[in-house]
Amino acid sequence: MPITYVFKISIAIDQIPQFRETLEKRIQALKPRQLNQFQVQAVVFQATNQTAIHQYLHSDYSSTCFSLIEPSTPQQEIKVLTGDIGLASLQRRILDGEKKALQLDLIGSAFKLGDFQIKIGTITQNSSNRGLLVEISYCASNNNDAYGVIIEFVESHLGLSNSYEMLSNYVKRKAPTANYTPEDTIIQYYDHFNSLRSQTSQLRSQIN
Amino acid sequence: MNEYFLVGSVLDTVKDGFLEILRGLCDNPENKPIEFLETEYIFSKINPNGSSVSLRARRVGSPPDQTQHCHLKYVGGIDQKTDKVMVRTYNDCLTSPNLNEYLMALGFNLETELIVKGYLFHKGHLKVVVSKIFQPSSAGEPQPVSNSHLVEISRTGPPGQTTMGESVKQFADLFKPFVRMERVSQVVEELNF
Repeated sequence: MPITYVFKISIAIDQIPQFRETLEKRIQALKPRQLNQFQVQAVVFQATNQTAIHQYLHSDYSSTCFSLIEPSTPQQEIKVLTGDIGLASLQRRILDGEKKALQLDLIGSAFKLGDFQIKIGTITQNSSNRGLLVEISYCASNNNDAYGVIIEFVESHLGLSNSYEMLSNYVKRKAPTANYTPEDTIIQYYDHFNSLRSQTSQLRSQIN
Repeated sequence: MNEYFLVGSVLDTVKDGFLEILRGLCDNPENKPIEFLETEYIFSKINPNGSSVSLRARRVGSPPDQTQHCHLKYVGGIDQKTDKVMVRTYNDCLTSPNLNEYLMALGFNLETELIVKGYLFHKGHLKVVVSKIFQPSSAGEPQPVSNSHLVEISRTGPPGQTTMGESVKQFADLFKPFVRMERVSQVVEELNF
């Protein structure tokens, strides 16, 4: 199972297309194998008891649906239920009467370079850009090996410094010896998507 | 997705003979029937719009085995308009083992816990299940709910497929006179369960 880190690039919204192109050019210069387009979809349902339920679909796990329950306090762990694709339609039954709060999509290009898989994608909400994410997977035996190699790849080939800051809090907290599963990748997306949502709400409150 | 189904029951004393007949009627008669032991949890929740949702979670094995994957099933009310077989809305999926914890966090309450032990047969797209239902008891051995086995023939497919209902009914007719697979009203079905 490859170890996957998701990096959020902090950049102004209007510069996202240009910067994405720059990153893609840097990767293409290494002559990678271009893979199919990748896609991540997040749908957030707001339950009446103040908990939010996030449903994630990732093109790498095309027969799988991930459902996350947002913890009510930061100390609580995120509950992730992994199911087959039938969970997506069942979720509508479970959440009958709950309102769909928002949908975020991430669409981007994917490349394979040796043992690395690199995905660069733009987060959109109602077809307007919201952020830029880079997902790097590396086939390593354990997390200790992968961390250094992935950070080095990001800094040397993508030219991104302060890469540690771009990681999600979940990864920073996770024990270096712990195993990585597809749920960990999804939780990283959840963390990044949530930080984007809080940034947007902060901006709105500043404008008001 | 809809489920077209019929239910019946067979006494424990004649169950073995009925299983032999089923082996002959269903696919792969040279193989032994698939045996299963599952724990079924029935969860329910009242939604904000006043409607109640009931979900059935199944786990392979009996408690305290918690490592296996789970099966989550939603079944709707039985459609009263159909005459030959019973039809209800059906959605299901396989999930990771933390299903009960997840449903509780969503506000679902555990209503009933049952242990289901039985045999599974296939005939094309038809599924035949002969099962005995037990009530778990804190004193050790689970207690059987009745002295008979539940027989269920089902098939899932898109809504409005009368041919699917007919195929269920035709196959159920082959069980006569051992088991009468009839359309029962929902009230009687609830009493039997």
